[in-house]
Amino acid sequence: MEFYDLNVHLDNLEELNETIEIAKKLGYSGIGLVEKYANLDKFKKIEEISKSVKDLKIIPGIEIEADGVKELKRMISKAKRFSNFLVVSGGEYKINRAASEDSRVSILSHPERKRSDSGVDHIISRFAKENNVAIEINFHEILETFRKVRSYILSHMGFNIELAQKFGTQIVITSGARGKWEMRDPRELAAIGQILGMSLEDSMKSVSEIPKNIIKRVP
Amino acid sequence: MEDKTKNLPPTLRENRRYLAFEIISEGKLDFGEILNAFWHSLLNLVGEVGASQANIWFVSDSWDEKNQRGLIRCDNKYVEYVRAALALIDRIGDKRVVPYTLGVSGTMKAARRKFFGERTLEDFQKPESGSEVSKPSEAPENLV
Repeated sequence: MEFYDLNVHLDNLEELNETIEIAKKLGYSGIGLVEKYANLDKFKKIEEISKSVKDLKIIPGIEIEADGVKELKRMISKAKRFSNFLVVSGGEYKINRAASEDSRVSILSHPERKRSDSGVDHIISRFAKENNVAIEINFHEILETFRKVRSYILSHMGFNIELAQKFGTQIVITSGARGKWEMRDPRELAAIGQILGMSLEDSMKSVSEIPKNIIKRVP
Repeated sequence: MEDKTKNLPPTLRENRRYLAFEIISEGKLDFGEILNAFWHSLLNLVGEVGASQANIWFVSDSWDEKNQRGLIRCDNKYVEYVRAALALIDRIGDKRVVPYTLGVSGTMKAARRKFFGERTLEDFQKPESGSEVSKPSEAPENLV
């Protein structure tokens, strides 16, 4: 089984080699190194380095953070020129909705961030299914929170999974790592999916088959 | 009479699993600190009732300081929670860590054999069907 973690950020590019080593040790076949659209230079560097890395597939991606729908659409069009692997940073309902309606988007990241609800409803879930946009369960969101906030996040993620199961929307579980120390084993990420209500089979697909299919769409 | 309960019949015994884990870290870790970090993480995740049902026991004899590997015993229904609690540790003391599980087994012996590569004398004494008894000179270096 091949495993992929499609949301890894590197604040420091010097850590890249160590991150690759840890990813290999944890059993990954590939990682998605995602950079914000504002840091296009860094994205280009990652793209260059990724060609020389052997034994581990590196998929350079662009994370899009927008304040409004118009800005999001504009940024998607611009970013599409550099990469087909686009991750939209969710949170705002309008953004979540617009991302789910756009088939150019690969992943809707942390739709529940900074919200008092899950950020996904039946409409978003249905659109995401139609447009092949995967909804992300971001481990970093759980890792960086505690007690009350963490319990809310877990509850919202569980609800998103429930909706996704009902509408057949794809779920990807990612580490959302900000550096090498936040990378986690794919089986551990699958365990998070399981405690949130997924079956073992579905949670394993969320770290293997579904990310693999997303990568296939990125030439 | 001895102050000890009798061994329960197999059907009444708890279903235990042994989870082998390894920790990648910035520096050497203290076993006591790992214990504290794990309990803190587990209690945060499942609470006191959940932790009591998970029936956790750290097998301190199995802690391999050199490779930073160890065994955790837990109830078979709580394996995924224990995995998640392990994954939720990002710092032990002042060192950054990446804990991960090597696998799960039903007995301590099998876990040590499968994940730590330990061999007992029995492995060399019992002849496998159709094969010869291995000579002591063929025994691997890590004979325990």
